[in-house]
Amino acid sequence: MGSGATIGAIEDVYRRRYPRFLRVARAALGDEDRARDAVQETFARAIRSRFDFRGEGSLEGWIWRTLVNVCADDRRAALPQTETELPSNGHPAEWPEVRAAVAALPERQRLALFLRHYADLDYEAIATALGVQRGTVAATLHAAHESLRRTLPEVQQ
Amino acid sequence: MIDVQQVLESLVPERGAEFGDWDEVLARAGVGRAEPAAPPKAPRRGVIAALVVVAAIAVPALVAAVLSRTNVIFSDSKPAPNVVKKQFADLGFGSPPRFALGVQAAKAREVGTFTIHGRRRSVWVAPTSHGGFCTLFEAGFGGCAARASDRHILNVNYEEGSPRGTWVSAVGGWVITRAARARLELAYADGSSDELPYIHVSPPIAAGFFWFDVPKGHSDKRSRAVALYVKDGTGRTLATQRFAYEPRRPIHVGPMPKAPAYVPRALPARSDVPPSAPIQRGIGDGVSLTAGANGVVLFDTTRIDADAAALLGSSVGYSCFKLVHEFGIFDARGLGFGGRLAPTVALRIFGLPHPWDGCEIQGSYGHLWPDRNGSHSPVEIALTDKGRRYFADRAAARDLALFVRTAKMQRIRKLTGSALVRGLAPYPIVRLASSDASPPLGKIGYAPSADGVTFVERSPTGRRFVVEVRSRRIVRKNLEPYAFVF
Repeated sequence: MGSGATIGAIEDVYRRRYPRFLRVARAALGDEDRARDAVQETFARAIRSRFDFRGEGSLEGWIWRTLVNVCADDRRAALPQTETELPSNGHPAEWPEVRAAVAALPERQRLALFLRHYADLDYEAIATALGVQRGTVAATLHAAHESLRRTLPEVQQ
Repeated sequence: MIDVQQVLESLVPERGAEFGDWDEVLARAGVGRAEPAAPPKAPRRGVIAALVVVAAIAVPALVAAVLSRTNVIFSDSKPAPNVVKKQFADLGFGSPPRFALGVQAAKAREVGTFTIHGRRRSVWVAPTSHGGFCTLFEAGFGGCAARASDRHILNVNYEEGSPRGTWVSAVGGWVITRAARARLELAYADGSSDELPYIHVSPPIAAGFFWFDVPKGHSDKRSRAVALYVKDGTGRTLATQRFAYEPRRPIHVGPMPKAPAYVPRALPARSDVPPSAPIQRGIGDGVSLTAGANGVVLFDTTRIDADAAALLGSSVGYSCFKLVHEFGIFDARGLGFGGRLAPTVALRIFGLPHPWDGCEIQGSYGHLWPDRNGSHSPVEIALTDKGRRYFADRAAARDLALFVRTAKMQRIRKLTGSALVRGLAPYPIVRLASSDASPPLGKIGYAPSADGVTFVERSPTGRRFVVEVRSRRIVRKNLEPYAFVF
C-alpha cells in the first residue's frame, strides 16, 4: 500500500475488528464507557491522520498503535491518578489476586498481553502497535508471563 | 495450575458481536460520508430483517446527534487573535501559586461561533497546564475548568432577561461527557423544549461549548426556561441545571441614609516573612521601598515628602507593577491593597513575577484637569529605568486624557471651525500648525481640521500621545494602557 489510507479501509478494520478493539480498551482502561469512547476516538484519530500512514506495516497494526496512544492519553487525563483497574466481570470474588497481579505489570507488558490474548495479534502487529522491535515483543511477553508466574506460583505458561 | 489464557479470558470475557457506531466516528473526525467504504460483506439472510429494524430506529437518533453536536479538532482550529490571547493571559492574574490557573494563552484557538445577543460571535478556548481549559465567549462571559478535577459534566452561566429576574434570556457554558451522543435540552415551563447545539472540541480540551439566546416567546412565567439537561443517547439524564426564580422585593427608593464615616483599614506594619533575595530597593517622594522575590514588599513612609503626604490624606492605595509585552500588547500589570497611610506597611503580593518595575501610593481624591500633581501619583517609586519612563509617559497620557474627557470638553470637542477655536480659547493649551506637530513639554496642543480636532501631548521620554476627533467621534487614540478616553 502506498502513502496514506482511505477512510473506506479504516472503516473496514472498524467493522471487522470492533469487538477486539473494544475488548483491549476495556482491559487497558478498566471502564466500559471510557473504553467505548477510546475506540471511537481511535478511529476518528486514524481518519484525521490517515495521510500519515506510510504503509510500512499493516493498516490494522497502525490503528492498534493509535488505540494504545489514545488509552495512554485517557489515563493521563483521568485524575486522580490511579492504578489501572481491570474490569471485574461482575464477579468481584473471581481471581482477585490474578487481577491485581495483571494490573501491577509494567504498562508495556500488560498491553502486550492484552494485544496478544484479546486481539489475537501476531508479534509483528504487536510490535507495530507498541512501537517496538519484533524481538522486543517476544521478550516483553516472556517477562509478563514470568512476572505472573513469580507472583502467582500456580500460573502456568 | 492456572493457564494465563484462562486467567485473561476470565478478566475481560469476550462478548457477542458488537458493531460500534461508525457514523459517530465520522462525526468526531469532522468528515462526512465522502469516500466510499470498503465493499461490505453480504449479511447473512437471517439478520437482514433485524438490521432494517435497527436502522429504522437508529437513523433518526443519529441525525439528531449530528445536528446538535459539531465536532471540532482543537489543533486544526484557527489561532485566537493576540488581543484574545492577552485576555487569556490576564485570567487568574494575581492568584496565589496554588490557585494559579495555568492558562496556556499562546495556545488559545477559536473553536466556533454562536449567535450571542443576536449577533454571530466567537468562542475561544485555551488549555491549561493542569489538564483543564479556559474559555471566552465574545461579548459573553468567560470561565475555566482549570484542573481535571474541575471537569464537571455541566457548567452553566445564564443571563436574566429583566431586572426582576423573571426569565432566563441566554444560557451558555460547557458540557463534559464521554457519552458520544450527549444532547443538551432546555426545558420550558409550558412543557416544550429546545435542543441546544454545541461544539465539541477534541483533546486536550475534550469538552463541548454552547450558547443559546432564549427566544423572546419564552419570557413569561408560563413559558420561561426552567431547566437545562444533559442527556445521553438513550435519553438518560446525566446532569441538570435548574433555574430558580426567587421572588425579589421591589427596590424601595427613599431618602438616602447618611453613610457612616469611612475609616480606612489598617494594613500590617510588618511581615512574618522577610523579603527574599534578590531584593529590589527604591525611593521616591521620600518613601523608601524594599521588595523581595517572594512578593513581600515593605513601604517606609516615615520620611515622606510633606506635599505628597498632604495630597494623600489618610485613605490610600499601595500597589506595585510589572511592565509586560504579551502577544505584541504592552501592559502594566499591577496589584495592590487599599488602607490607611501608616509609617510602615508590609504587604505580600502574589502573582506578580519579579523583578518589578515600580510601586506607588495613590490617594483617594478625585482627579480633575489640571491635576494637582501634574497627573503623577503622590508617591511614585521606580525600580527600573522602564518603570521611570512609564511614570513619565503615564503622567503625559493621563494629562491629555483628563483634559479631553472633562464634561466641558466633551461638548467643545464636537465643534468645528471658529466655534471650536472659541471654545478652546480659555484653556492654557497651544494651537499647532498641523496634527503632526508637537507642543512644548508639559503643554497640550491642538490642531483643528475640517471636521474635528487633534489633541497632542508629549512625554519627556519622547513619546507622543494623540486623541483625534472627527465628525464628533474619537477616531484615533494611543493612550492605553496609561489612560483612557471616552
